[in-house]
Amino acid sequence: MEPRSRDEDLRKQEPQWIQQALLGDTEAFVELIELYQRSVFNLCYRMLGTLEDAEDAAQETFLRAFHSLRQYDPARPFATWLLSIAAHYCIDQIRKRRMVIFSLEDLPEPEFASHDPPLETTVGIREDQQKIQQLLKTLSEVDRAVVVLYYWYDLSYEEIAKTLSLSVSAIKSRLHRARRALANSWLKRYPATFQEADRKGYESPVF
Amino acid sequence: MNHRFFEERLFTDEPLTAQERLFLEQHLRSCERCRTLHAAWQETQLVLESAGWVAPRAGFSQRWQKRYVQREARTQQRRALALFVINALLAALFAFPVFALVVFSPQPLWLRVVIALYNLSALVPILEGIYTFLFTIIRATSQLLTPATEAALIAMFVGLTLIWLAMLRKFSARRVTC
Repeated sequence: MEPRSRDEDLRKQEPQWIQQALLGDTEAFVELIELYQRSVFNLCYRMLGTLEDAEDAAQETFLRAFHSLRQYDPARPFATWLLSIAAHYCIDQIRKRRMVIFSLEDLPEPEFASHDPPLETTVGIREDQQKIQQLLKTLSEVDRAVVVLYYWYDLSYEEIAKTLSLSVSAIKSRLHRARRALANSWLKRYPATFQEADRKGYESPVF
Repeated sequence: MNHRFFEERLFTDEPLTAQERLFLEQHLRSCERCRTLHAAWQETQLVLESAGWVAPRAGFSQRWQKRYVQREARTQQRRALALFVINALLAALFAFPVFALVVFSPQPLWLRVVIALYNLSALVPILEGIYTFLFTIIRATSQLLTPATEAALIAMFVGLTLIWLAMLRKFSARRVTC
């Protein structure tokens, strides 16, 4: 999760809000939404690729969470439980999209300006966002979820496995496969970037 | 050349041993394909790690509340409609034989009612017999059983009824998949 001290303070009230929401108090649940809307929305956006779809999926996630709150295990972090609902919902949505006859590739690129400006509004960042979304789109829905949970949410293999109802070894294998696929997609999309690297020879910053 | 061995080490989170690192460095110097892939992954990783979070537009929770109210109203409408359909079907099921009798019988209605009542009166001795049978069974059983066993049987019956009611409630409750 993204470290924010204000959120840390609010999280202390989380069990109380959950208890109240369990009794049907929507106002208490709205407090939980305020606390987690950003992480749920970001996951939905990374999974689905457009702000409109992300909004719809995030709203649906919170509706489902409210209706199935009795199934929530307090021993588990509420955030990962929410992310699990969101990830499964997005995976289902992507699978349903495949049933649509026309190709989404033919549709125009989404306009960020259609919403109030989020945090990232500069042109450079917008280009990066589009690069990322295009790369993520090349992955299968489950691999995409693994990558997003790993790179944006800093979840451990175990937490990702629990969130996606998979084994730890499956997560490791999917992450490995996704990294290779992302690197290959990058090569296909931006081949010019590596001409210079080839000329310089091997100078890896990793080692 | 076995690229797979080196590719696995390029994309792993596991720390490499000194020997593995040396092998990989040597391989990357000589293999253009793996070197390019490695550089591509470095670039991708940079973009992934520097990517920020995208937040929803203001008023997300208010929109959720609105959607929740709409969804609840729709659910209630659907339940009411389902209940109406079930009741209508049951009513039709019971009403149809009566309707058929009234419509297709050649005799007048008053005569059919009298005949029906007369026929129903034939059930009285049967009901009496059932009552006597059950009463005899209960009396005989109560004489055979000790008070403790009787209490246990009653408790078991009550328990089973409660379990049945709980199951009925569980299966009739709305399910949300997540």
